[in-house]
Order: sequence, then C-alpha cells, then structure tokens
Amino acid sequence: MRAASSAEWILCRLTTQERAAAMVGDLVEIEKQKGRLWFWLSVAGVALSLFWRRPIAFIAALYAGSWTLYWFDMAMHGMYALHRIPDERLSAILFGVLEWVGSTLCSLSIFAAICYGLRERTTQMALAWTALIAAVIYFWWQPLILALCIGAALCILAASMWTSKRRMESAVVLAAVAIGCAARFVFMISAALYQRFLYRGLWGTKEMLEHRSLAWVTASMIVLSLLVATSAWSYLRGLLLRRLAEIERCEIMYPQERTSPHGSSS
Amino acid sequence: MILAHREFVFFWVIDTVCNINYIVVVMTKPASLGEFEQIVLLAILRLDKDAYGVTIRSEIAKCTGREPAPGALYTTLDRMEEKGIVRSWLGEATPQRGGRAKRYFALTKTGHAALISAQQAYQNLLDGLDILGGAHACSFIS
Repeated sequence: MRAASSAEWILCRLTTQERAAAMVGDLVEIEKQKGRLWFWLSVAGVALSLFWRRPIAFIAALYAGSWTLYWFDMAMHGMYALHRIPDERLSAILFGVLEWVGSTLCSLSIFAAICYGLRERTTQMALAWTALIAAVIYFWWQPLILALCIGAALCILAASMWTSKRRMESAVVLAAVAIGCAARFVFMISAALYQRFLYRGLWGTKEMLEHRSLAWVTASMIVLSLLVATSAWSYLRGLLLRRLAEIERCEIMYPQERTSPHGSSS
Repeated sequence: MILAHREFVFFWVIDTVCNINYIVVVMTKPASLGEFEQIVLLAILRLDKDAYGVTIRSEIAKCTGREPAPGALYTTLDRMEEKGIVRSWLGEATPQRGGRAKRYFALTKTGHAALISAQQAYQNLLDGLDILGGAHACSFIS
C-alpha cells in the first residue's frame, strides 16, 4: 500500500488527483499477476509519457522563437540582406510587428505541434500563419509572391471565420499570440531597464564582462515570456476543448434545435 | 410588389447563408484517428459498460496479441477525452485496487463518427480484396 501511495503521489504531480488514483488503482489490480518490478516500471512509463512532451516542446519552442527572431531580423536589417526594407517609419513599424508576431507564432506553433500534435486545427492555423509571415519577410520585394501571400492570408482568414468552431479556434490562436507578444514586450523592457540600471552608457565587451548578470537576466526574461505564452496557449486550448465538449453535449440533448437555423426554440 | 420581391430575395439570401453555415457546422469532417486510437475505441465498444484501464488493456491484448504499455494507453485515453472523442466517469472503489475508484470510458457522438469514418476508409480499401482467404491471400503468403 505504501508503494501505491508513493506512486499516486508521483503521478499526482503530473495529472489530476482523480486520474492518478484511477491509474494507480489499475496498476495495483494488475500488479498481483505481474509483480512489483512491473508495477514500478509501469509507473515510470506512465510518468514519462505524461511528462516528456512538455519540456521538450518548451525547449524546441524556445530555440525556434530565438532562431526565427534572429533570421527574420537578419533578412530585413542584416549587413548581407539582399533587400533591406526602406527606412520609412511606417514600413519599419509594419515589418517590426511582423517579425515580432512571426517569431512568437513560430515558437507557439512548434510548442503546440510537439505537445498536442499536428492534427489539431489550432496548430495548423499557427503553422500556416507562420509560413505566410516568413514568406512575406523573405520575399516582400517580389510582387507576385507578395500578392500570393496576401491571397493565401485572405483564404486562411475566410476559412478560419467560416464556422463557429473555427472562429473559436482562431480566437484561441489570436489571444495566445497577443499574450505572447505582450509578455515578450514587457519582459524585454524589464531587461532593458536592468541594463540601464547597471550602466547607462554604450555597451561594449568590457561592460559585458563586468556585468555578466545582464546575460542571465535577459535569458531568464526570454524564458519567462515563453512560459507565459505557452501557458496561455495551454489554458486557452483547455477552455476551447471544454467549450466544444459542452456544445457537443447540447447537440446530443437538444438535437431538434439544430435542425432549423431560424427555429423559435433557439 | 417590388418591396415584397426585395424582401423575399433578402430573406432567401439570409436563409441560404444560414443553411450553408448549418450544413458546414453539422457536417464537418470527423476528427482523424491514429491506428492505436482506433484499437482503443474498438476495445471500449466491445467492453460496453465495463471499459476501464485494466479491461481495455486486456481486451486489446486478447484481440491483437500485443499488450499496450500503460503509459501509451493512459495518454491516448486522456488525449481522446480532451478532444471529446471519449468521455469518462468514476466508478466504484474496490479493495483489490487499494480503495481506488475505477475510471470508466465510453465513446461520445464525435468518437462514434470518427471511428465510423476511419473504419469506412479501411473498408473501402479492403473492397475487392479477399486477404483473409482466396486468391489474394495465396499470393500474399507465397
């Protein structure tokens, strides 16, 4: 019984109390035939399968977000960029926003793809928008590709507004990206303020070596902003799934209300 | 008369749009299922009211000859519950389980639709092939 309680405590860290108790109950039932070693190997297997996706998804998302932010920036403002964006304020702001949203979307779509699978509509939407933004950032100077991207964006927008389910999924993606961008902005401002607090002048190698804490603070801020974005995605996805399950239950209980879109009962 | 005609056209357009929206909402493509998900759903259907972790696992082992890992089974069940393919509820606690409740599973309407769609695809592929006996079976074996 002590082993079962310990196993339940371990699984409770990774899932809900009810689910952990039911899983351990099942394993205790089979343990009589398979033995104690099998029980503990199974607990380890269950814990691993409940746990592995999230940290790996988070690390991949962190890498993907930083990587895309760097390459998008290089494509537009880098020394070897083939076609730099004109330095007019409007286009600079527009491309800055695209770069910011694109990298946030990329990290969130990688996180969702690993954590929840590619078959989810929200993941597919995020990936589609990321690909479009990347195409615009890399090929904005080619009118044909730009026109195709705008056409594809309009098609995706229409498809994501077509049904109520799609609208809810789009709202989840939009809200998660907005929260992610806002979090990144707030945390980056905090890192910049810390930099000013350490040394107000221009930073060079000497200052960097003197104030090593800045690197750690900046890295922590990047991790924290991604943590906020991915938590928002998971929370909103949970809300969406619960809402869709509720709609489905209503359809089963009151099917006649869906037969007529103009029915007085609705 | 012209006004009446305009009203008719207006309501016809609204009605058509609503009907298209209704058709799209109700007749959306069912969720796609992986092979293991289909196996788990079929086991739940076979067990009817007695589908919980232990029985699902033993039913799969009995029918397929492969014992699924508990981790794979529980994560699949959790994922399918999140997607609304199955629903679960807690049953009775028994002394054999250390006083822990069983978590029973059943298919939802969405789960039924998804399973039918997936099995229909297999059936379409099998049509015209007699792989369990007959000419095709002999050619495959040889």
